[in-house]
Amino acid sequence: MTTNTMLRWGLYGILILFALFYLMPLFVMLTTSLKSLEEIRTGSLLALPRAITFQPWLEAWSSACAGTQCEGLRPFFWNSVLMAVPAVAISTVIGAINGYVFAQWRFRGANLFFAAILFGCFIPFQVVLMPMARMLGLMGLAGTIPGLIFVHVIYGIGFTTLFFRNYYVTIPQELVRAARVDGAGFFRIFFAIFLPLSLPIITVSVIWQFTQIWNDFLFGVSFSGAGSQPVTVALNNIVNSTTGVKAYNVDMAAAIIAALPTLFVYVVAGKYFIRGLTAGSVKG
Amino acid sequence: MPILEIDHLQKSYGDTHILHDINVSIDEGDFLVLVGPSGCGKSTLLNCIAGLEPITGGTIRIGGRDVTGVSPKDRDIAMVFQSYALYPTMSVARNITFGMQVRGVDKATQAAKLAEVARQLQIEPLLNRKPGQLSGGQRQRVAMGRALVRDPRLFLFDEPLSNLDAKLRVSMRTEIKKLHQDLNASIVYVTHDQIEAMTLATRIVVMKGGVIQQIGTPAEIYNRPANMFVADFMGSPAMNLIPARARTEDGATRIEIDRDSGGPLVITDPVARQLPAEIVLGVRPEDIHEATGQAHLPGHAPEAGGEVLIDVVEPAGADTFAVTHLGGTPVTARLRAESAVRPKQMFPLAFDLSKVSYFSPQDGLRLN
Repeated sequence: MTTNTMLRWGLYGILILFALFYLMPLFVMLTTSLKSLEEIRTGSLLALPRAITFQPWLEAWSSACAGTQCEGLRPFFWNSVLMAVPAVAISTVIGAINGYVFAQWRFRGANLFFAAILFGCFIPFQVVLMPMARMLGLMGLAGTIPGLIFVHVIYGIGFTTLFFRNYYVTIPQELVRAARVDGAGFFRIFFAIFLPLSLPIITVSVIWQFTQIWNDFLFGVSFSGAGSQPVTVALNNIVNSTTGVKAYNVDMAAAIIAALPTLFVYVVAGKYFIRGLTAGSVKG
Repeated sequence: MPILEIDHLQKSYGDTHILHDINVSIDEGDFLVLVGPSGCGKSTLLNCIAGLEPITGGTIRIGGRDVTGVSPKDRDIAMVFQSYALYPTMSVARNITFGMQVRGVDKATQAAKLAEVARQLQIEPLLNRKPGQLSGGQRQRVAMGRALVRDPRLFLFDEPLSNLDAKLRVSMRTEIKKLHQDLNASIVYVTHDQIEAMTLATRIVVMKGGVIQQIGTPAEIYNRPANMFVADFMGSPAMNLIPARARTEDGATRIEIDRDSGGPLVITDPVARQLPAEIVLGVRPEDIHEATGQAHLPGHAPEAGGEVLIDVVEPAGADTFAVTHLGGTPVTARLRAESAVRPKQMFPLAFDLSKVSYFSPQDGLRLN
């Protein structure tokens, strides 16, 4: 065996080790969620379940207690869907139009505007909590799902604008000029020429936004009311409301359920995500 | 009636002046070429004509109508871009019909016009392909098809051949010229290639630093350049610009040029010209021949020249270029292929004084 192939195997060995390391928590969660409480108490953390039970999953989905409400994650899961889907869609659409303007329709002060929007990406969540609470109150959206959608759209625009702008600057300006000579206007050019080119970057924007919004806890816990809490907040409440024994298996099942949608999005669209991130180097 | 009139056009970005007092006018059927080195403002001027760039001052009229503030789509123009700017997600057919579609032309007319243009440019087999599946020359044709289908008052071409390889460029050049003749179209064409300018144009505008240096027919520009910049820019190999001294004597003009070996080369122009003492003599390589020592042809200026030391000989097939050193600069002569010229030897050269230009060394302007 040459040194080269030995190095290669060494590299694979290290990579496999890291992969196992990262997969370990998932393995523990999955196995624990399929064990009975009895088995958890007596068995080892890393052991496979002796008798597989789906009871903890059922409980986590429909009957675990989050505070005083004992309906499982189900209602909160739907809250998250109702929040995330419109928020992702709206922030992506606005980001696309913003990016199109910044990349192809230079106007006086465009750089300053773009810098301001970029700055928005770097503002920590905590800083905007108080002003946002006041805003939502004034708009009558406090404690509602539309209120959460509003917050996430505002917070996401900085990122989506950046994505689309960086993608659209790679499209030659002569395309816009040709379309203008052909008689097309601002929106016509956007819908007929730019949008059909945008699938890779739309995928990036959707994955990024969906992950951010679905996983968000701080805005969810700050701006939601009794009926509008997202799944992350409910998960926290389920784990924290214990009556006597701590139901690790239910907690683990609940955590996996809460994480499933983002996992699903990555598996389905992850390929396009990587492609979209590197799309700038590809000529149209 | 002029198809395009540009009157005192100014263009600046803040304090940076891009175009200074541009005045151009062309008639229907003219092929106007804007030529100049990169950064001379020729593309900006074209974009101003198209309405893609707002202008700072002056007026633009197309077909007698003032279009100064009018948007590109209402100027009755069509444009071909350097990068072709084909819409990448649309088929060739849709690329060509997009403009008509935007304008709400009915389907039957669209199809008829598409078929006509496709036949004219021989791109019928390509109509269902995407631009990404086309070669450079094919893209170029589609871009022209998109302009032709509009049937505009004025065509604008922005360096349309510069992305093609040398061979294709020459054949597309011929096709554009043919198209111009067949359609009797009015065209404004931007290029940095002076050969393209000479071969295509009915009128040439030479630009430098946002200022028009000269406007004229290709022959005027070539034979009587208005200044040293035009003289140097147009023609390949470039016109020889030789520093010299002039004085009027016995009703003739005596020109003295420094030579490396021996005394100065003295030639006599039989016309008494009012020239300053210091001049720059402009003479094209083909206007320097092998001196025969015989009487010149009737009606021609007398043969004027002398023996010079040849530095380099470059045979180029049809011609042989001989490079010597006069007045402190290299001077190229275009000789017959079978010429007996040899490097590092003395050789008799004669200037055709009926075709030379005299320039002022101070401002570079033409003196004769």
